[in-house]
Amino acid sequence: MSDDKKILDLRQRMLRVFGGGGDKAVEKQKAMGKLTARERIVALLDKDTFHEYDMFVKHDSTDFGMQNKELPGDGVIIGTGSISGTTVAIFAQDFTVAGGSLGYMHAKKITKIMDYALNMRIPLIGINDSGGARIQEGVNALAGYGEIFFRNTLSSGVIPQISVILGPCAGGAVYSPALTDFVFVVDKISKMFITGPEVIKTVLGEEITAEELGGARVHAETTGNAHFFAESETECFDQIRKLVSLLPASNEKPAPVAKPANPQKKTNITKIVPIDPTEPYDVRDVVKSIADNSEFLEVMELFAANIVVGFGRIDGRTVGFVCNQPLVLAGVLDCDSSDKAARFIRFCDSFNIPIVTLEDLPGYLPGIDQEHAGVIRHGAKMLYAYSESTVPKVTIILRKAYGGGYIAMGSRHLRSDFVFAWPHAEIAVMGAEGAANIIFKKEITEAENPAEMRKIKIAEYREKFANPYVAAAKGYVDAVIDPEETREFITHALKVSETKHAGRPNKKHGLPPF
Amino acid sequence: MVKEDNKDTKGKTESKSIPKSSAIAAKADNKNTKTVAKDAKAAAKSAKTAKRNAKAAEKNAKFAASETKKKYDRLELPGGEYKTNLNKMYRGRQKWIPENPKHILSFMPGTVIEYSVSVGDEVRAGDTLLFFKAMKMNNRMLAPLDGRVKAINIAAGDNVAKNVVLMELE
Repeated sequence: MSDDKKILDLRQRMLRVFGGGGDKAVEKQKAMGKLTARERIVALLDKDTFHEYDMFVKHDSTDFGMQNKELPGDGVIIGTGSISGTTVAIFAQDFTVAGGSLGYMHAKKITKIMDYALNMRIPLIGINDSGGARIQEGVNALAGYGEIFFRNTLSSGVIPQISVILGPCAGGAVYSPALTDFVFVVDKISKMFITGPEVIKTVLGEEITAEELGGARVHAETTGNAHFFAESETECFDQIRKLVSLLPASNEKPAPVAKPANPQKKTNITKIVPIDPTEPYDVRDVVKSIADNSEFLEVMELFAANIVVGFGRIDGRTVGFVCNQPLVLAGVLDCDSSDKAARFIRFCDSFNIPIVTLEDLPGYLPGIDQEHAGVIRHGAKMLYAYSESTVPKVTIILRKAYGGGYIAMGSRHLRSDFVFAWPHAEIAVMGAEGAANIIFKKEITEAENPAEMRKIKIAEYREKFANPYVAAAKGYVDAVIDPEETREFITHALKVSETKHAGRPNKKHGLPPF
Repeated sequence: MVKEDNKDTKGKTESKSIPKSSAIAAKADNKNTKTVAKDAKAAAKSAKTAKRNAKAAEKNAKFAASETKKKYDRLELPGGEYKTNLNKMYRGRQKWIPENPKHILSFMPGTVIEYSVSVGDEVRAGDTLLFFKAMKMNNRMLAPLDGRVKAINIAAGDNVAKNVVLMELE
């Protein structure tokens, strides 16, 4: 058959598309330390599973000399394949073709694969590497962006949407990733901003490099736009594969179940957490002593590190962990950590992933900057997310649970299904020092030795209220447990809640304080 | 019991370990009586374990030393002072300065087009002070209060960032 003219013709046509923007452009791409769009797809998907569509799409732009330009695939590759057996839809912008610029047909291809993903109820992965709108195509390019944003919103909460930034992603283009569930960035390769360094220089006279303005590290650490940070594209693809293996294909399907496995017995849970409530420790070690195989995929590791969120498995099933991190800012809640946790909780709820909360926090971060930055509005998102969610929720109070922090971190009152506390837990309206100063103000000021009296009263308060038994007496805490039994209690609680059925009143949609 | 001892020393250097349940303790006792019965073997064994204990203690001491070396920041909160690490945001936070109504600030990055007043002029609240081009709009900036123009800090035509004092009143 190989001498069949039509087939030879097809092969030639395909080869032309496979060449992307030509050898020179590909060389340039490599010089920047980047893989080509096609190489990326091959690296990310299971071997030989990629099927490409719309390979021979042509743009119909005739202005500004565009009629003579041939753009293979119109600068984007779309198709379907699989990751660890999970079918996914994927598009990858090809920077070697007209800088990956987005024109009308380019956008049409992306929206086509987005429609596929939504209709077939499979996760969508978008690899972004584009100079921006194809200016020659004018408002048609803008229309393309708008159509993409609309579909991102439509798919939100129905299928997992993953954005991978492997090159520039500037101007309007940034809002598609921002609307998706997880954004992956790679050091020195990813760049995201609304207005670039040149514009900032001409308008403000301020000089800044693209890396400093919107590099991978900036988005992973400072802005919170990125969820996963990698040193290389290969590491980034590993992260994506790991994430996809933990997620369900859609909100109608359960997450893939792995073989249950015990945590590796490297660490002893009681040795991780110091008894002195002012001593720090890494809460991720506690997660690892609970999760299957001690495996934990942390989301937004570098942003608002005073709260830790991420996925792991318990008894083979995917769970989302939300934990205060005493290692950073004593684990307080603030604007950023509330945003981070709220979004993660809502993701878990959308995709039926149970939430395990590990609580140990002194409360909210005091400060003029926090108040003025809107810690009320941001903090409320977390209360909203916990209250709204109907997935199984298990909360473990490790040490401190004070005041508003106690309520916010998956308390019984926000409808956690199970609340367990360790014997060292201090559940009270505020810390012993503050409380004693208020309650025993008179006794302290009138005493001969106020400092001595304050100490006595603080001890008295701590003895009486800084324990889990006051909350347990009211049934706010279901059980006070030996820390060594934590995993067992969580496993059982999740088993019990597998058939959970909890409703919320019907509405068009709620109004979380965005 | 030797084994138990070993565990205890570890427990002390780390942090107080959670008391074992009585069932486990009873089991350990049982083992203990058995080992005492085989005294000859046990003596040889205990010499070995003593060595091992000494090694473990040394290791623990090293660990404790490295623990105390680990430096944490301190964070003062209403509930007390915590050992922890401060993050970039917290370190970078700036002292709050109350807004001075007599300072006329650029509310956005932009360009001063022209001033309608000069230094020393009396102005009434609502008078036009200057025209400021920002985000493709020519904005008229008005006096917030009655007063006199004390200083003009930015020359007409200059680009400025946000929150720059363009003009001071008195």
